Amino acid sequence: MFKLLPGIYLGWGLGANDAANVFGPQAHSGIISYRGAILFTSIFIMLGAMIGGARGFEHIGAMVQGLTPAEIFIVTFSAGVMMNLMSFAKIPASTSHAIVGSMIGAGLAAGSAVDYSKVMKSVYCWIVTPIGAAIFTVIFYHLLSFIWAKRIKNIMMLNRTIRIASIVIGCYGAYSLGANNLANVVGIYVESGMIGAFNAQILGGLAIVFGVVTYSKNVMSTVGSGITVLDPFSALVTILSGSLVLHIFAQMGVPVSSSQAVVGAVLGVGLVKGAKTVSYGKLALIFAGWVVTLAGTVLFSFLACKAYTKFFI
Amino acid sequence: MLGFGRKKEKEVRVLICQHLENVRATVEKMKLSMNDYLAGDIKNAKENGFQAHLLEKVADAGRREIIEKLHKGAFLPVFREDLIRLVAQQDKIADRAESCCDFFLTQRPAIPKEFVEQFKELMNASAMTITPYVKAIENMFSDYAVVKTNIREVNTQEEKADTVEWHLTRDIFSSSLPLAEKLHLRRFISHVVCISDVIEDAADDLDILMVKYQI
Repeated sequence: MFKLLPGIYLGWGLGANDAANVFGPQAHSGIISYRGAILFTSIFIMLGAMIGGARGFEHIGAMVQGLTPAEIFIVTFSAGVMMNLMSFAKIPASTSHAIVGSMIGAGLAAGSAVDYSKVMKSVYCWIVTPIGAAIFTVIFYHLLSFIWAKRIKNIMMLNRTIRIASIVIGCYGAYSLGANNLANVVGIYVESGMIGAFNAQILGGLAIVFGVVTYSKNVMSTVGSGITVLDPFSALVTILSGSLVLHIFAQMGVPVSSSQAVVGAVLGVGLVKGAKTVSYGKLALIFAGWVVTLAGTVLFSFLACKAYTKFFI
Repeated sequence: MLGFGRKKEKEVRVLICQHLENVRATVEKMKLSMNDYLAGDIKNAKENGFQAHLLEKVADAGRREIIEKLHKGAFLPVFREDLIRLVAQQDKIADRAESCCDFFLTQRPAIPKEFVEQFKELMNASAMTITPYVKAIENMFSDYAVVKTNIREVNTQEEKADTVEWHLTRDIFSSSLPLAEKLHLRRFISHVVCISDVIEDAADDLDILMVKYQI
């Protein structure tokens, strides 16, 4: 159990940070209470983890072969620490980048075989995530606004539609998040045989839910205030597009970043409305987040594994 | 926790419509009071002025009740602010009608016979502006598509009141009345047209909301 602790720590961080991407705007703008948002997020993340979470185990777990339990401990611990450091520095970071970087670092240090075809598949998916979310936003915006304009006849209907759609889309987002990101938390343990797939789904799901319950409220408020500068309809389309991208990659078994999906979707709103929804500064920061997280975890995990080999073996 | 709140929203809708009805009744009483005043029937003018004053108080209480309901969670926060502003603007209409009554019942401006009909015309034109505005608010709760037409009708009616105001002002200042009386009548005119101006402002606010709610 002790060896699984870094995974739980990573899951906690993921839940604390990423719940905001699916229910932040709704909770921040008062469509649903924070307690309600946390409850729905927890239920649907757990459902996502149990129903669709196992698909990513193979992709993440088999990326680097032959790591020892101690090295796996270092991999997940490095990823968790890097995520915390990035959050502390207020640089948007992705758990997927962190875990992949850590695995490469540990693999290089241990002389294990790194499956670069899987690494490249992850990288392609990371690039496609924001682009795909932006494209989906453009499609959904046009499609839904047409239906919206036809169907919404008055303020009563508008009020009710926004309320119901926000909750339904938020739940879908939470499901996609659980299904997509579970492998980041426990995938490496499953493939190394340290825990069974079913138990890993329960443990990983609960770790993410623990993060949602204990720490997501503040992040929801911060992320929510950033996204709610959009009108309610655009915010809904943003979350729907981001969630769909997460769901698609969950089906493909490749964990990606929910934050980057949301950023891509917000950019998509900008494309549709001809407005500047994300500044170049913020885009640069996000790109820096990619590079720093990946490079930082490779280095951190490499050095930690080398130190472990030198002092303990 | 979910609080889809259909009941609360329906209650607010009813309250806003009731508030609007009280505002409309205040304007109607002001019109009756001014008619009596112009006919020289001060007693009835006072009675109708008093009724306008009471109705304005009822409208005020209605506004407070709406705000309370909104604070208790009716409608999404994004709409609450807009509705509070709209009701406050609506309430100003009753305030202006009451203050118009106060003006002629306390200051008793002398209206020369040759201007009585023009004053009546001005009063009717200004008070009539509320009719399409009432329809616009009702349609906000039932059919967006018609609201724009109602708002246009408010603008047209307000322009009519402005035209009457312009002619009456010109006629007063080209008459042989002493300057003090001219200025006093001018102030009376301002009080009357202020009602249609405030209704137009409320309609403009509604117009902005409609643009905001459309995608």
